[in-house]
Amino acid sequence: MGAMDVVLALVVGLLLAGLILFFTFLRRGQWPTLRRLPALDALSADLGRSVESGTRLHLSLGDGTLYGPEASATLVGLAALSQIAKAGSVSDKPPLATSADGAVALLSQDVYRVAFRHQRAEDRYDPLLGRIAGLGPLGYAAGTMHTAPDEDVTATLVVGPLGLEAALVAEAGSRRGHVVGGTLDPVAQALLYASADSPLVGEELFATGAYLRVNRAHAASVQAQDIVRWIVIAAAIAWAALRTVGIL
Amino acid sequence: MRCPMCGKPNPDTAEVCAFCQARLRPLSAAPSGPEAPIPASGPPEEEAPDWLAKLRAQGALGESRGTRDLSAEAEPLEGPGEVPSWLARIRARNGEEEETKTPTGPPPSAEQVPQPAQPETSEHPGTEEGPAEAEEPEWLERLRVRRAYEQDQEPEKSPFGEATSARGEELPPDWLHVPREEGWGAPSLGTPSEGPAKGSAAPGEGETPSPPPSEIPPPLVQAAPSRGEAHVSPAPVAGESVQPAREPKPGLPRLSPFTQGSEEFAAGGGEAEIPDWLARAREAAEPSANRGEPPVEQAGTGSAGPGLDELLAPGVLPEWLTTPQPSPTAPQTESAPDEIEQAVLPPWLQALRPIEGPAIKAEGTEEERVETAGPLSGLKGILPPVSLFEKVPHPPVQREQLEVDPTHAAQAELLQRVVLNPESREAKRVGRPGRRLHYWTWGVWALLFVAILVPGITQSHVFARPTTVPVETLKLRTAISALPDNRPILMAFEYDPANAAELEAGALAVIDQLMGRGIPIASLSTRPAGPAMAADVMAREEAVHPDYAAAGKYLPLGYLPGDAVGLRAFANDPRKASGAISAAPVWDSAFLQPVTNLEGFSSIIIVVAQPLLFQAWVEQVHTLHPTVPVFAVISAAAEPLARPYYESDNPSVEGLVVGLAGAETYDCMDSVDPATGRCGNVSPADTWWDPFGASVLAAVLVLGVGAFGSAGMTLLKFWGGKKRD
Amino acid sequence: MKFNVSVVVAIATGLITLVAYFIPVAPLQAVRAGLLQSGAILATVALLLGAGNLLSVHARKIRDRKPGHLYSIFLVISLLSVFIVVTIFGTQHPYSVWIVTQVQQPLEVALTGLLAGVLVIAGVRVMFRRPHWSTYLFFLTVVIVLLGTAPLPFVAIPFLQGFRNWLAQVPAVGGGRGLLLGIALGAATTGLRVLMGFDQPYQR
Repeated sequence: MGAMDVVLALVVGLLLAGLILFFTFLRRGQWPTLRRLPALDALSADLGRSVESGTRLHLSLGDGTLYGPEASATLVGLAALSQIAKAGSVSDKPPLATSADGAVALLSQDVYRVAFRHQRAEDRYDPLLGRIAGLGPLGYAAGTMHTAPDEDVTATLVVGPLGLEAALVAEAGSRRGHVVGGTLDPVAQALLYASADSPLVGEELFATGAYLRVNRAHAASVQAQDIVRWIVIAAAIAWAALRTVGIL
Repeated sequence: MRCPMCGKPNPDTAEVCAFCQARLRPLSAAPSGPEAPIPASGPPEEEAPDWLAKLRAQGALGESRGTRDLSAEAEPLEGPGEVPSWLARIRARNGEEEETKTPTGPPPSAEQVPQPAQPETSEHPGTEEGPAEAEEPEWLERLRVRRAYEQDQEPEKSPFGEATSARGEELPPDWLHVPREEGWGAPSLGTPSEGPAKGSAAPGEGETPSPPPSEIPPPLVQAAPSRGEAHVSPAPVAGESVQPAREPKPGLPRLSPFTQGSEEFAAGGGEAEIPDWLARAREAAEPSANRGEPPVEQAGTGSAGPGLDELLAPGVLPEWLTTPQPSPTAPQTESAPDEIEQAVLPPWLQALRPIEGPAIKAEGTEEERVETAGPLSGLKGILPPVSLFEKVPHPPVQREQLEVDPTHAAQAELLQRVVLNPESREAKRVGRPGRRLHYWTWGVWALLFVAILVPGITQSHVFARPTTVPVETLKLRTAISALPDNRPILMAFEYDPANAAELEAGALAVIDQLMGRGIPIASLSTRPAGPAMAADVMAREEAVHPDYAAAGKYLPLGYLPGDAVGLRAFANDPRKASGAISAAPVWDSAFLQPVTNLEGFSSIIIVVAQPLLFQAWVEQVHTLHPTVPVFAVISAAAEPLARPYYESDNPSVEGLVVGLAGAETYDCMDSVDPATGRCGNVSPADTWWDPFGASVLAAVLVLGVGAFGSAGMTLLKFWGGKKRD
Repeated sequence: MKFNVSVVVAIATGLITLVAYFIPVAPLQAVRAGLLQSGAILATVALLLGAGNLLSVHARKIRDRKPGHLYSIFLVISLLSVFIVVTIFGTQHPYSVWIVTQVQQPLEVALTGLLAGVLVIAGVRVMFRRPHWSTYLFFLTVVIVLLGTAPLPFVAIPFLQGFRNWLAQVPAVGGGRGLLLGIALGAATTGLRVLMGFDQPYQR
């Protein structure tokens, strides 16, 4: 990694950190206006419907880990789980979170515990609400294909790292109810576009926390991403133009 | 002191509550003897209060039957000739208030049972009437307390002047006063068989009919109305109908008829209403008055009635009052149904009325016991909770009174059948059925199945093999040809068994070339099943190159946990990262001993299906060792994301084999049969080429039909909407 | 944002690893190497924890006789047997390799084949469910890439493969790079939230 690359990485990192801090603390009283995402609107409706009808919402955290390149998607999934668990803890059948990694399953159990404690419903906490459906990508897909009918699932939310097996997970969920899906892998995104009812395309997955109002930092992150994205776009266009002209 | 039952304040010295007559202090002595049924005519002689006994003694021919000793301080019975002190006090008070117009009549019963919960008190002489004071009976004390409280709360204004307020011993009881005109509180005892009282209007809605005047109901004195009301009922005139009493206010005592000792009521007991027994007594006295006895004072006339002395004079009081009566029968409400005139209930009350069955006789309630503990101590007739709940049967349902709709009857019968039928008891799990597969999906599956099976079974070669070699594939083959054969290469098997079909073709082709050149291969994987997949692929190629196997040039480094973290750790120190994990001491072999870091490997070949994992290898490993060339065998799905690493100015990847087509191209690069144009090297890619082509065509066909169908339906809807518009 | 020991440890570990990436100072590099090694060991432990969680889920299913508990019995038996075999004989032993290649691989390949059919059906369904111009463009792209990748029988369409290559290497790569850029930004902000203590997935 050259020196230029290091400097560039540091600049981008510090810029992002500064923007996040700025929007989190200095603009604390304002919640940003976010464009409507039909997929996340459908999530709220699905959650309410599942609570009222006495069925479950299944949150698929994917088959990723916390130490791989897909760890960011796993963290986004856990943040979404915190809000969904709080909202669904009053239900007869609280939402179910599945994963394929032991550490992720442990964290999801912890998220549930905190959510139930927050809702003063610790006696109803079940650690196996955060569970492993299967080990490995296809083992996980095979496990989730059984989860939907066995656990009376009527809505499936895919928020986490998934590969080609995302299509199997979405198909199993779509046979039971509504499917909202988002992942990092572009190939899996294409599959979810075809098999999910409300797909999350591109980096819309990272906006899940802001839409679910996890905390102010999530909304600040969305704003910071937008600003840096426009900077990158402008820089790419400018670089391409300069190279085309022959300056660079 | 607050009453534990009603919560109203009472003086500290009170024994019973002035409002609800509940006992404020427990009894100091339990009633002697076992519980015995209280006779309706009054308590037995041995239990009768002393004043009653005295009255009876007066009426009897000097016969003394003793007194009821309620407490240790019972007043000793005085001789028949002596005037008891209380009587003297009454007479004295009476003398002071001669101008007060008091109604006359037989005084009410001296038995004042402080039991507001009991319907009939005549049978329950006050066993709890333990007189607090030696000389004053309990009822007097109670009245005094109540008067004191009422006077504290608000000034009692009686239409009859001060004489109506009982202040201690001087004041006569209210009931002895001239009754008011609006009515009086006689119990609703009447003869249902008889018609409405003569001369009385027909009872209106909500009103109880008046009892007939022909028969005097058993003497029951209604309690006074609530505090503040100086309600004195007018005395009935003989022949007039006796208005039935209103329902007694809760908590107020019912005064049982007493046979003697009306002075006590004149002293301080009595309530505002004239009891009907008094009225009857007056009526009975009227004929005697016609015989020369003093007449009964009419209500509201204001003339003074006969004095108490006159009332108490022998011959004035009827015999039933002065002579001991035999034991009474059961409570009035149950024993004399014929005498009670049925009340007319309003329609709304009738609608609320439950369907009644025969009267329930709870076991164990015949003998009324006296509560001895708790706030209800001293009260009689307290329902024992255990016995009531255990023994009271449910009333039978009078089916003929049920109005059952045929639909309801059918449903009830169905429910009964379901409950009784053992087969229906198992609750079936109500699962939500999933969406069923449509018929056309079965057709799609069948088409795909046929497209794969037929070329595979027939081993057809109808699909053309690739003729052009991609540049990236050619670069890989050229680079491997130039690698030194004394330095091992690192081969990463980063795919799961699911991707083996696509990637093993390319991996086998590359490994075949490497083994052909005798280059040692060290395998590593961050996937749990990777080491097994690597062992299988190497074993298959070693079967083709037995010399390679014999030389022991395959060096399995095993499983590397931690994904990107593990890769970075491996890039920093490969021996430390994988040495502790690999089962065999491969790092000590001759081929790996010179390797101290990744620079010791001649190149790195990544066999990967996921683009993110490929990214991790490039970013975590190649950035730390940019001089080690990296090549990749990737799936067709990962090509769009892996190609930028190949096409950049400083490419991180120097050669690619993409999918099944790339593997077929790699395999056939040096082995195309010029005569037939077919690949001379029969590889897995060549075997799967025709089924691959056929299944892709089948998928395209299905998608095309779906697209045209969808477009057609959309157009039809659009035109249909237009036509409608 | 609540601070406690967990937050301090998480932030310190992340900052040391990140700073050591940019600043090649020997002590820092040594600390980072130790942290990375610990992370790799924890990942192995997490694998075992995952197997334990899976066992407990299915054990409860068997105990409660829930629907499908027979499959759970088979799962528990197979998990324990494979664990015992691989523990005793090692990962390179022919028995372990046989389990992977003769049992696990056919099962996973079958599921992947199932995936192909599911995708075709989903593709048809999405055209009926969302009859939008983007859906038809999606379908067109799929058909061109498929026809350009797979061989054709008896005929050869020359421009198709070239068009497919252009599609895969220009618009697809461009779109992929854009997605990767956005994903990288999102991953960076997610990591920064954890480093700054705003996201605490470990404890609340």
